[in-house]
Amino acid sequence: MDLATLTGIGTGLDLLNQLPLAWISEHLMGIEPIAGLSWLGISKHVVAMMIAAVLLLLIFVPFGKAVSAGPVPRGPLTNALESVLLFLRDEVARPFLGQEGDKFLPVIWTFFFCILFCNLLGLIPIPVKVPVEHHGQTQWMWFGAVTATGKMQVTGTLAFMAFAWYHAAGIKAQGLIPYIRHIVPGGVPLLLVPLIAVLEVVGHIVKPCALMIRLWANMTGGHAVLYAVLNFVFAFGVLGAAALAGMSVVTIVGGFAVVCLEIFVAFLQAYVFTFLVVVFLGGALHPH
Amino acid sequence: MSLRETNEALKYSHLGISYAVVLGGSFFLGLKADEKFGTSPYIALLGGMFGAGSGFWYLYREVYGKREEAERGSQKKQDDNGSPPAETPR
Repeated sequence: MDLATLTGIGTGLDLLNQLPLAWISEHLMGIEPIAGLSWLGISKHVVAMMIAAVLLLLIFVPFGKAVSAGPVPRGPLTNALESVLLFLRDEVARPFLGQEGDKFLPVIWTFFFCILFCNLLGLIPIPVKVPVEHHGQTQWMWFGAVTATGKMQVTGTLAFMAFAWYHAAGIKAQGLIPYIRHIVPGGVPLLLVPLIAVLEVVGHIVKPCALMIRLWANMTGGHAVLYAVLNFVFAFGVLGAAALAGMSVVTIVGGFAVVCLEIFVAFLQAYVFTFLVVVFLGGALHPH
Repeated sequence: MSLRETNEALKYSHLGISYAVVLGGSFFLGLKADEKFGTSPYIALLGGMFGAGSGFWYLYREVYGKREEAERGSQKKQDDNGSPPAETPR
């Protein structure tokens, strides 16, 4: 018995097109490109970021009101959010920025939760049926959710926003001329100053690049592993029903394990990104 | 390992990717310049060497620069308080 008979929904590329590959595809969501620019349309990643933004508003606006309304906010969600916010304040921001770093907390918290929500949204297989142009024909296909942070443009934008923010904070704290002067460490011979300045500028540019690549690679890598594990079914399914049944068990167990790992990675990478932004901010505010 | 110790280690977790970015980025820009000027492979090689050098400088500054800053900080505390400095994390 072949896979088409077993599943009743087709084999090969037709089936693959409807399954996990769609999670990381970059098709536009059937919406016309803006101003005729094909890359400026609303992709699944943009929609995922919009959903994350709406969720953040829906959760944190009532939370903020609850906190400002009374001395002790109550409720499981409120307490859970409060514990995360306080953890970031006490274990990340204050050790590196001191008490004066509290004024930067809103941005730090926003970075963390924005990345976390984008990471987690990609793990929810929301079924959405959208029209896709395929070989000149419009086909309706099922798409799942997508990890916005699995797209380098998104992580790059986040990283360079952080870059601009912590440098702006450093310039505001020290003044423009002292900030530029601190780029070159003290005690460098005058002849070497131009060379060291170039190397230091390279170092500054590299920091957001590292942030961008790390987040993107971690979020894409998890999905790629999940895709590989799920495709064992198709690879072994052609060998017969027994192989398909056996490999299904392996795939389900393996897929579950990878998804659990991805949930952990989603939290970890949001934390690491936020933590490193705070470290870089600390370096910009206190060069010595 | 406590959270503080983990965070202390996490500070250096970007160094590996950073070194790869500097080296790969410089080499890539060199390749592009070679394509433009028809000088293959000289600018790419120069880019690779520049990337390796600046990458090492970045690693040195991030690791030893931070250590020296920590030592200077503990020395300042000692001067202020008259107490022995706290051990610098290695």
